[in-house]
Amino acid sequence: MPKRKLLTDSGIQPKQPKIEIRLPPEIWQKIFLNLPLKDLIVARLTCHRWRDAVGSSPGLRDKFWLKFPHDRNITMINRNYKPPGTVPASNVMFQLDNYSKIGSIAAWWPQVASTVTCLVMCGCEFPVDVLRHAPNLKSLHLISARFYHINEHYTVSVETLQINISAVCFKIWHAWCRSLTQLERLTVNGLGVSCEATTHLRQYCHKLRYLRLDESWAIPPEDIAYFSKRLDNFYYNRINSSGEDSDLLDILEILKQLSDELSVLLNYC
Amino acid sequence: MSTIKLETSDGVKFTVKTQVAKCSGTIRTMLEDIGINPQDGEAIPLSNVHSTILQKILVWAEHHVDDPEPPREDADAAKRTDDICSWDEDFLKVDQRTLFDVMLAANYLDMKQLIAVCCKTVANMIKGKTADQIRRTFNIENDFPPGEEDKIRLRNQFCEERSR
Repeated sequence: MPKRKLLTDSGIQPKQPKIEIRLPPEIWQKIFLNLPLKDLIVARLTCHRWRDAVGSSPGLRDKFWLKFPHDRNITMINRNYKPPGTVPASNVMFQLDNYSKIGSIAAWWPQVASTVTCLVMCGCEFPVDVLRHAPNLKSLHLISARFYHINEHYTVSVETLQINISAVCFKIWHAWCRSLTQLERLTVNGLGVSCEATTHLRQYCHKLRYLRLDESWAIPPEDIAYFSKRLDNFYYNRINSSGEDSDLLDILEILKQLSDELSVLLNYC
Repeated sequence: MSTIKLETSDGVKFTVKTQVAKCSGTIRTMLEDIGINPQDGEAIPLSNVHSTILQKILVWAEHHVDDPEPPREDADAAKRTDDICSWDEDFLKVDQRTLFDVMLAANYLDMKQLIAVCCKTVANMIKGKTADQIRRTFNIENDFPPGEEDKIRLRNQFCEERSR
């Protein structure tokens, strides 16, 4: 005879049914949108339903920022690194130094990445897989950072890219442009790739509407004309001219031809 | 002034000024888009709303009927909850069951302003409390297995530190 487990012996008293008026998760989510982060964090501790309600709302996930590595004493992210656990967040930042290489990223990243829409990478070099695990990624900010291993057929969902002082060789820049087919907004400060770089933007990034380039760029006059006509916003902040005088005159000539309605900001000294 | 009839889940019929009834997006859509004709004298059935709650909601709608259209709010913008007008504050001084019933009905009737003010009221009931206090306030059962709460607390701590 198989032993039958007697429920009455389990020691668990049947719980008193609680009278509770259930609000659907979408109403709780609307309520939670009024909470500051510290109360939202406590709300997640209350019960499963509240925790799930917080995790399944993009508006609420957007209130959370995660930063990796979680411990200041950790200086590398490799396959041995594992964060202690995370909350579903829309915003993630990796903060490392000296182009520290993120090799293969461990099993924890895909789950975290699935909800990420905004990613900030500081001081690191990372495989493009890091981006591919984040199918909802819209905004990428590279601060002294670069990604690599870009396969020819890779495309990245990023719509907004901001680059600050990142050292990128021309070959990588070419691969970037090829993969960034969804790019709508690009802001660059201190990148320093060669003068052909803008040609790749023209070639691959057809959705580009906003472009802000700093003085490290030497843009060929025909590209200036192209961007001025095609983009909604084009800012080219060239302070230290390294170009020849003839370039300058060419550019000024082209500028004269541009219609006033284009928002072109050119600081040319 | 034109009026329409509304019939609640418990069969009570209300005669309401059309303008007041149109505070409800659901009723507005019925009248304008689907083309229900209130002149027929037939009542619009509100099968999810009880008469006691509709009565209360109509008091709110009557008071706010001339409110200007609210500016479109950015859903992500940090929201304040200390800007509930004193009339609404008094109006929502009710037991929790009634408050939640009003919210469910306002949700069904698509009354955005009423939902917004209710949400702020409930948010104020959550703010500054511990998880245990929240559970007591809303009569919520802690359904995390023992130890799980601590684990989540640990994770949350990690997030809290990292938040900006």
